[in-house]
Amino acid sequence: VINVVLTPAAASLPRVVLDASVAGIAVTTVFALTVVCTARLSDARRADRLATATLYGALTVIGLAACAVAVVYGVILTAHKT
Amino acid sequence: VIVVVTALAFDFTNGFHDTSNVVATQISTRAMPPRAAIAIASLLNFVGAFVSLKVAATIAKGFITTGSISTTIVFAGLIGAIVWNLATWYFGLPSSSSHALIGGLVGAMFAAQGAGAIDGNGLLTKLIIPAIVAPILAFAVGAVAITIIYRIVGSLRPGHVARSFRLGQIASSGLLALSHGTNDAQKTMGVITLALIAHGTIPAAGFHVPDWVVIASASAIALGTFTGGWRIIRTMGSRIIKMDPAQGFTAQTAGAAVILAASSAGYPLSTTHVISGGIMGVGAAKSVSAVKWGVAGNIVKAWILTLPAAAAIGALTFELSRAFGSGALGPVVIFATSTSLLAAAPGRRLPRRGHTPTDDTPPAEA
Repeated sequence: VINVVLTPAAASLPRVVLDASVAGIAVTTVFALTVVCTARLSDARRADRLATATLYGALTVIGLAACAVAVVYGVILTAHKT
Repeated sequence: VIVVVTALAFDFTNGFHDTSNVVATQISTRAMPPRAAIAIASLLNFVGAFVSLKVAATIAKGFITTGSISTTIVFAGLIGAIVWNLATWYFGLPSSSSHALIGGLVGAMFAAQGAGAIDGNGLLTKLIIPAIVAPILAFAVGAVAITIIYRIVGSLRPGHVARSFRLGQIASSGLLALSHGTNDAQKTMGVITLALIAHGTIPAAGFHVPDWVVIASASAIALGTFTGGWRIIRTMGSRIIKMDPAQGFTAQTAGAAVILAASSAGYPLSTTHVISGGIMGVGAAKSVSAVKWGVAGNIVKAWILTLPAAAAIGALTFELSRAFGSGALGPVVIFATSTSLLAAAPGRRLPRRGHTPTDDTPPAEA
């Protein structure tokens, strides 16, 4: 049992759990917040509230950019699979 | 030649068997039309096969002693994997093609050389532990993530939320398809390379996958993916839970996060286990009773049975092959018999049996 626990694959397990949890929850949360921003942006535009619309537009772009970065990082990780 | 053709046949079954991992949630939430989802998954699987060759090396060297391998052992292992893949496809169960392949090879190796030729430590750390951890981790990440998402978007108009998450699903499934290509096409590359080593075509030292093997494997898995295993797509997409677009996006993103985190740490996982775990997690978080636990239980049973069943079929195939002598006659006879049986199968009407899906036609376009 000790030999198995000490193997590199088994020893890296806590790191895998942490990374997967943080990445999965962070990306989905950011995307959900972006969805909220797009809804607020739409509402603000309909109500002709330009400043609010601009703010939510900027937040939407930031959220989408963050998600895009996560996807690109995922592709890079896939390409450098060990 | 027979071993290479059999390996490519396995790759084809791997493609249509595991298509569901990538496209099932997309299709069931109507994020994309079925044919378009399958076509994109095929393309990304093809591209993914060229991205990295590390997994091929793991399959070729991680579980058995390559020095004592023979082409008959590789052939028997492939038959074990193909038979198990076809059996689970028939019942619409999303089992791991990778585990079937490794099980088949280990069983054939065990029959040929005994337990000494099998790397037990490699099996435990690279296959059994990941098989336990992967679905549990994806379940947990999916459950927590969807709970947070529902709290964030709960007050918004349902139509806007559904449209947005459908768009998100296109990106998350693309990442999954690419990841699947890098994992699964390479398993076939590893096996063909094993056969070439056993045949003496390439040296065992300095593992190298020939270019034609990469191209042939990528093409076979892409073709299999394009064919589409609709039975398993139905199981994953609608028989475990009735999914909404937010759940589909979350299951895929949680699955991709688990696969990529594991890959970056050199910890191979089954895509099938991860996505199934993610789907169950997002369903259970909404309502425990929303998950059809009977279907989930059948899937878990198939996971548990995959390694020993494929190993038993692999061992049996090896013994059958050995009965014809040590030459190529055994594999030739088994290959011809298997091909004849498969060629005859589509002409026979499959029995309908209650909850068992037998319809293998694609769903109507969304």
